[in-house]
Amino acid sequence: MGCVQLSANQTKRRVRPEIIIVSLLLLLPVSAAIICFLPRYYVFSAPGEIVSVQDIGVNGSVHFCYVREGFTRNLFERWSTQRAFPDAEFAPADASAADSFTELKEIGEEARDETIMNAITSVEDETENPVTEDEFDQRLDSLIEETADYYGDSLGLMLAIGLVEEAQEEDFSANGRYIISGTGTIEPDHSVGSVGAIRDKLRTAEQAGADYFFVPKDKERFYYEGLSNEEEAVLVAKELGLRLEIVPVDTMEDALDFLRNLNPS
Amino acid sequence: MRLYSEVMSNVLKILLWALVALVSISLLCTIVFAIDVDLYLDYAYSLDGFVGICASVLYYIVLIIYLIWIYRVHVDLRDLFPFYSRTPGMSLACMMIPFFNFYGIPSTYYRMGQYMQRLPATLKQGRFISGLAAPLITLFFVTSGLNRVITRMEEPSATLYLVSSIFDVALYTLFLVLCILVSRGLKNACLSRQSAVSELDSPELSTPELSTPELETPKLDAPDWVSNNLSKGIEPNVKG
Repeated sequence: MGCVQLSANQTKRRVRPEIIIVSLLLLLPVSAAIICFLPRYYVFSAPGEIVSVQDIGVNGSVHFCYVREGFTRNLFERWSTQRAFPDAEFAPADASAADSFTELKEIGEEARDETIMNAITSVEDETENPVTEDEFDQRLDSLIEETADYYGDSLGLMLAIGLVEEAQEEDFSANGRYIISGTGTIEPDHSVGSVGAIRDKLRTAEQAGADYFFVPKDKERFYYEGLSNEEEAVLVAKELGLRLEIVPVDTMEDALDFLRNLNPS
Repeated sequence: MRLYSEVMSNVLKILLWALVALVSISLLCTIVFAIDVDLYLDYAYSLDGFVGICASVLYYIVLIIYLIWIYRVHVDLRDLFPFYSRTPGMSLACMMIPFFNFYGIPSTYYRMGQYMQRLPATLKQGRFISGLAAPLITLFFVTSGLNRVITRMEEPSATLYLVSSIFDVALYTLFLVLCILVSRGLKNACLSRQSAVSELDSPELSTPELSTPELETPKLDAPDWVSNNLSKGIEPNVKG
């Protein structure tokens, strides 16, 4: 009994105040780091850039617009993303955000390939200059390869306009006088379909100094929840006091008419 | 006699060891980043983030403990060296007042070192402490400058991150060495004084004022339980 008591006393004496203080103090940084790495999902969207169609191998002067979208798994990733993209807007999500995003990307890639195909056929119709099947496939493959870094079908309209410029040797930018950008899909009947992230696309185009921005004229045919692209664009432009001019277009031909009227010569 | 700064010295040494370990891991992650960004993203990104958060919080804790420690060290210095000219409050001001600390930080250590060199028991520590004052302030401002540049740049290069990490490790290691040297120096000065008092405390010279129960026989070369690794070769030179 005496031995046990002595041993306990010795053990008690060995616990130095330094150890207690340091242990408590070290708990703070470790706790902070653990909190930052606890699973907490957010989805985000942030302005991206406007990209000249020349960057994807089309001899045109117009630009398509992309935005950054993704998800973060914890507060640390959210903080890192916020630091990289200060304009990013976050919304809480759950663990399924990762799967949803992967799925969205896959669907987006398929939609991108389809809109590229529609753009090529629309230009064929517009220029009344049919191409052989081999030429068509070659162009399709080359454009799919060049746009591999993007997903989604919102580049369709601007790609089609760029292909028209290339085929008819036109320059809608009047030798760089105008920065023309826009968003919207291109459908087989040449109509311009609705897309997402209008707000961020407009912010992107404004930041890039765009003068004209095409949006789908979809007020009458918007079948989803919420505001149509056309309505949202007008609201955002008003709210943010945008300098650029929003041009709603129903079809590719509407967009081409607008651009040709811009430079009648 | 127990030093007023002893507990804080030990706490600060352990925390600085932890900080040096964390910034060293961060340096390794930065090396991976500089070599291959994809490898970094796959294997080192999360670790670097975790370590970075720990190091950031620990930095502020160390900062507070350091200020308490430097205050207590000056209380001990004024106790051990009656003519020590810098008060504890002034030492805090030297550390904290912007721009004045250009002079304040190195002068604090230089003065500390100079006083320690007056005692044979603390001669070595004193020399090291005085000698490290200039490298300390240089590293301090280079590190601060680099961190500011990185914060302001949109996309700092991997080389800049690497250089900044190397300087971080060097700065915290230097602070750790200084902390070890100062605490070792104070301990030696304290032992030296105790041995001088106990010499006076011999039966024939004994006076009622000096023979207090607090004054124990000094233990030579008392092992420093935290800092043995860095203090080899800087052993106290106490004559009993």
